[in-house]
Amino acid sequence: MNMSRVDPLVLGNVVGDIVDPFYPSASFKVFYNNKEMTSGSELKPSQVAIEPRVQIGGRDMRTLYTLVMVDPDAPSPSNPTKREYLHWLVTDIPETTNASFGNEVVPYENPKPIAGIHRFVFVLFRQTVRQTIDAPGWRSNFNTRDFAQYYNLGSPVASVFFNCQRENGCGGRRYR
Amino acid sequence: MDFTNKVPPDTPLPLARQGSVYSLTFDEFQSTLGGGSKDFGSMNMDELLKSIWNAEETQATMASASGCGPTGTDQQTSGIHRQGSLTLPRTLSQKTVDQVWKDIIGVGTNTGNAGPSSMCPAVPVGIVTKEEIMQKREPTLGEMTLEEFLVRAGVVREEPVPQITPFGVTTPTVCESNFGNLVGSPMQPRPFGGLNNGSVVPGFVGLGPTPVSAPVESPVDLNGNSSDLSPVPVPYVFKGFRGRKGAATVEKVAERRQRRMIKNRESAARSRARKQAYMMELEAEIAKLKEQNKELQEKQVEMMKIEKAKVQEVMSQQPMSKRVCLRRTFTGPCLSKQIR
Repeated sequence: MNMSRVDPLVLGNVVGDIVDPFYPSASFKVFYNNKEMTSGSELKPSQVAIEPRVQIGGRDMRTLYTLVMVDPDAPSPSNPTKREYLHWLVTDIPETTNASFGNEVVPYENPKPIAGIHRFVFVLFRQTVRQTIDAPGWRSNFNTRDFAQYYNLGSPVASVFFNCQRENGCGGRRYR
Repeated sequence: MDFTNKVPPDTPLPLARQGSVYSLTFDEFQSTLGGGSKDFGSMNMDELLKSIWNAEETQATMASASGCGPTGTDQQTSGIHRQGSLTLPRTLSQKTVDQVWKDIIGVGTNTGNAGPSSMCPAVPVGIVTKEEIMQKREPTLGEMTLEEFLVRAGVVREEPVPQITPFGVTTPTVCESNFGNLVGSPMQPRPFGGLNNGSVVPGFVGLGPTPVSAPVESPVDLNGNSSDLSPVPVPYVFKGFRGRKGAATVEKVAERRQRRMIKNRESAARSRARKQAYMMELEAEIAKLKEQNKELQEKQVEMMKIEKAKVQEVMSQQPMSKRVCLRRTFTGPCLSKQIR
């Protein structure tokens, strides 16, 4: 369950870079390899190669959610020219279920950071209605804020993130 | 006073750069000489300096010829001519560039070549830290700028960081000894103008009045040799802290360093943010789990109580078959029935 404080998201600059401050109001868990992902933890590309199981808690299956997964640090954190790189976009996910029940607008692309340590952020929106969302023309330079505004998704209701670097990474250092 | 700005930025020169010779890297310098000069590596320090001066002369000549060289340039040019008979510290002049280079990159361990090891801290980028020094280190000789090399070799002194209060006359005496004049007259106007903005101090951040004598072996050799002064100090202001003298290359170099430092800082900040964010998440999770644990345990206790109560009840209801009641086979089904 995503914590009620937004602080780690602020600290990790997720709030600011990708979303505006919000009040979490959804139960949202992400499981990679059946292990619940702790927000802010570091995972290896090999661990996140397959799309995660996303669990949206609650009681009302009529409520639908949209899930966005982006990499704001593409191609590198010090030079994020492709911010945000869209890795996954699923809509119409019913409450209490997971992403496989939704509509995968943009298929999951497994993270493959080359340079530096990237953040990979999941943002969850609560839809008011069942809606058709079109895939953007390309994954690069996606803008979650604009996207939410365009489709009237309002403020996010949950967000978690993890860090990821090259499989044999050295913490983002290029020299020595 | 601004002899760094010997040439207006846009003056086309055969040397094809906008600053002074000293801001060129070895590679660039070599190419400007048309490759005619032999590889610098095997050159003597003496020869190296001569070729640099030649290049400088040429540049100064061009500048004067084009009529836009500031007065300071001419003076400085003539200053160079006068000091044409400069002799390097004995320890240096016979060395080849390669040897000096090796000494330089052996910085930190090499005290024999007094210049480099003590020079490094003096790099005036406003903030002198080990990281600065490390970053400053060029991977190859070819990529090092001439002035930097000269500085590190101990031929030249760096301009002091402005935070350093001028040591006054006394301190400079010893370590600037090979730059005779320069030392004794920190406040005197020099032909080559505002060398260090009027104050000459040993460029060692850590070089207090006392340690002066220790690290500077080679300069001592040339005690009183004033000829080193004028041309050699020229590089001072190039990379000085107030390097906004106008030369584009100077700015570029400083900018390069600045950028690297900023990037490094940002990276460090991101790293700290990551660490902190994760830490907070973990703490929150711990709190949550502890809470959950507590609740579950309480629930457990409750359940046990209820169970016990049920058992008691069943027992009391069947006083006759007291033995039977106590048997597990009898109570088992009872309990499971209750719970459901």
